[in-house]
Amino acid sequence: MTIRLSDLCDVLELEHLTPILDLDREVNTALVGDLLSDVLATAKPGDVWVTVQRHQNVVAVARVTDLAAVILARDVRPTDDVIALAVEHGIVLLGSTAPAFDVCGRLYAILRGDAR
Amino acid sequence: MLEITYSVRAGDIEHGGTASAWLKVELRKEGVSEQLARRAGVIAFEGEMNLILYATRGGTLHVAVDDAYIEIELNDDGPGIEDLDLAMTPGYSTAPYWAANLGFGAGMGLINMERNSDRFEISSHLGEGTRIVCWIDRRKDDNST
Repeated sequence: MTIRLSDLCDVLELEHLTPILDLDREVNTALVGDLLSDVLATAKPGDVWVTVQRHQNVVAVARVTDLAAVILARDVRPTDDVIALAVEHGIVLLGSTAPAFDVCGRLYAILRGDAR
Repeated sequence: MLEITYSVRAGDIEHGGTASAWLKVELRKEGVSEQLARRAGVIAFEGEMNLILYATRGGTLHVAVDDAYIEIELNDDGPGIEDLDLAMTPGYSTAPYWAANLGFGAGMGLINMERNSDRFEISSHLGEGTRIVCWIDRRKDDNST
């Protein structure tokens, strides 16, 4: 199924780190990883990317692959300049206190699980 | 017809991918489909990072677009690649530890460039530099949106 980013934030208790940006994109797939080339090779437009990388190049990767949002797991915090760059280019950054494994488990249940 | 040359500075990690992301926007303005602009963006991103991480003095990213092709060319003047077959082996990397920590150096960069190209050429000479040219065939585009 698909879920709107704003609903995803509520369900996964994500912090919107770029609150000036809209959360109206619909998401139906996600990917996880910290190797940028791997993300460049496998990401599809509109994906949500779960990672613990937090530097400027994350924003560039998200721009090139047209991601819906980046979820920074395990309470990884980007610096203000990275957040400013993300806002400038319309890249939604979301923060989670949960480890990537748990974020992905819950994402999988929402996007790929049955409706129960 | 669009033609752009970017200079990429050695070690300028902070701006890595900036030219590629901008290129993607320019290609879309030029009427290139989202899918092909994205492939070009991935090629350019990997090329840009290679110049930043490995080229002694950085290099250039040159892009030319006409009705038939998107051509992406990367040039640097050293240090050059000793063994191209080894460099093209998935997983092989000479990235320093600090770069690996940032998620670079997975040994996938050149492979990503080749896979996103319809035609890919690489030549390199130790002490002289490396030249990579990637072509995307716009006439094969099956998704013109």
